[in-house]
Amino acid sequence: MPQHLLPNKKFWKNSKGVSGIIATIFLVMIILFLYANVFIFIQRENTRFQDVVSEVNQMDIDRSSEKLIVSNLNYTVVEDKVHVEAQVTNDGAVSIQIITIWVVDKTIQKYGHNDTLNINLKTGDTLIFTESNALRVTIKGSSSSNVFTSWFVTVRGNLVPLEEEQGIIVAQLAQGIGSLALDFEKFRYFTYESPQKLSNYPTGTVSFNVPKNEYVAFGCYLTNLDPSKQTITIDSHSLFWQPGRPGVAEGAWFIVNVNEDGTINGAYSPISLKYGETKMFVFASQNDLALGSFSRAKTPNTVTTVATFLLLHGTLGSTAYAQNIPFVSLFYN
Amino acid sequence: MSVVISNVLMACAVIALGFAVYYWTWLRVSDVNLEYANVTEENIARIREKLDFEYIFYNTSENELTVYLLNWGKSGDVSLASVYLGNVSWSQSFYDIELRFLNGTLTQSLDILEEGYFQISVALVTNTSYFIRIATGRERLFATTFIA
Repeated sequence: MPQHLLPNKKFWKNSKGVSGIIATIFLVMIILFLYANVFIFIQRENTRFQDVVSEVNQMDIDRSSEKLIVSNLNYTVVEDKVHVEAQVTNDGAVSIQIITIWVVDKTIQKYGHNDTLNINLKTGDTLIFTESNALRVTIKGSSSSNVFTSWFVTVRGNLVPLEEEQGIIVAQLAQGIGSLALDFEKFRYFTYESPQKLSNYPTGTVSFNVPKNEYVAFGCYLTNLDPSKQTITIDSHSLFWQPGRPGVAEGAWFIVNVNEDGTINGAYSPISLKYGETKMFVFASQNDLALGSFSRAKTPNTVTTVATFLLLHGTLGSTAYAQNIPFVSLFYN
Repeated sequence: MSVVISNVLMACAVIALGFAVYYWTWLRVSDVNLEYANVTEENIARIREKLDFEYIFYNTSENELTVYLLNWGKSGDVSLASVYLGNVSWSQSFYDIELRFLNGTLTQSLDILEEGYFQISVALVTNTSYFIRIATGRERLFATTFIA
């Protein structure tokens, strides 16, 4: 073998500088160890964070997958306890846990809740709350003839309104003649306690027989069923109109704002109605309050039957909106 | 002999210094890891916070706004730092919010699936749309709109 290919004995015999190499290797290993420690730790923390992000996203997806169908909804009041009867079906892709029910009595503007429900509904399950199983919420001063709205709160933070599925007839009606629906059965009138204060507000008298030659105001419940689900705002140019005919004077009752104690405000601020929301609108003023001052209106001094109309004016979302509803017929006596 | 002793002493000093540097570096690395873990933990707690507005009621006769909340997230101990209320032409901030459970008991925070409410004395215009923003102790914002 050639001499230059043999191991260099001189190199191996001379150990100067080896300690430096070993120290450098140690130093590099220590640095690598420390770096790997930090790197692996940060990687693990990032993975944990990503897992939580995925978990939170899944929570949101599950939340939006909840779907409850409510039917046969009915409210009755027994000794200040509102009994909510309904058939509830879980029509969504996930199981639902209902923890609270809220009920608002829109007539007396009071509300209550029951947070002891803890009802579990698997996908496709139906529960019927009726009679002794009815859900109960305490609202002092409530009455069965009042208007209610209610909603469930689920464990995923969803608010599920308890409202009957709006059938196609109602939807077509809303598209055909307008987005506001009226409740004939809740129509009422008010007499006056003083020139600008209604008596027995907001209960009034639920009747289609109205005293003749009397200062009255009318209360009408309207529901926003707009197919595009936009908020409707009613302005001061809206009125309850009773056309005249030979022997019967025409009557106009413009929209007003009424305080809880029945006092009518001299100025009118527009009333907004969200989709699905029901509110009572009071019509009382002889004048449009944007154009004149408040003056109460009187029924004709004739015993007769008349037709009435609701002429509504305002905005639907951000666009102008108006609707003429052929309303109830009244008998003045 | 003295050369050997001095070499041994030198070697010992170098090794001791090496260990000291290594120990110090290890402590710094541990501090960095701990700080990173704390930041991650805070961020996780923040994104797991979920508050829902169950109901907002404005009492016109008493000028009092009542806001009902549900903590439906996976983070407990959700406190309220401030509330921001307003509309297109007006806004106001509220601090020192008194949070209560639904039974009226005062509480500092809501744990998971707990419901509570707070009240604010404020004069609002009825039938007007307002927004409300809640800032939690972990600096999450939850907002909604309502009609007074």
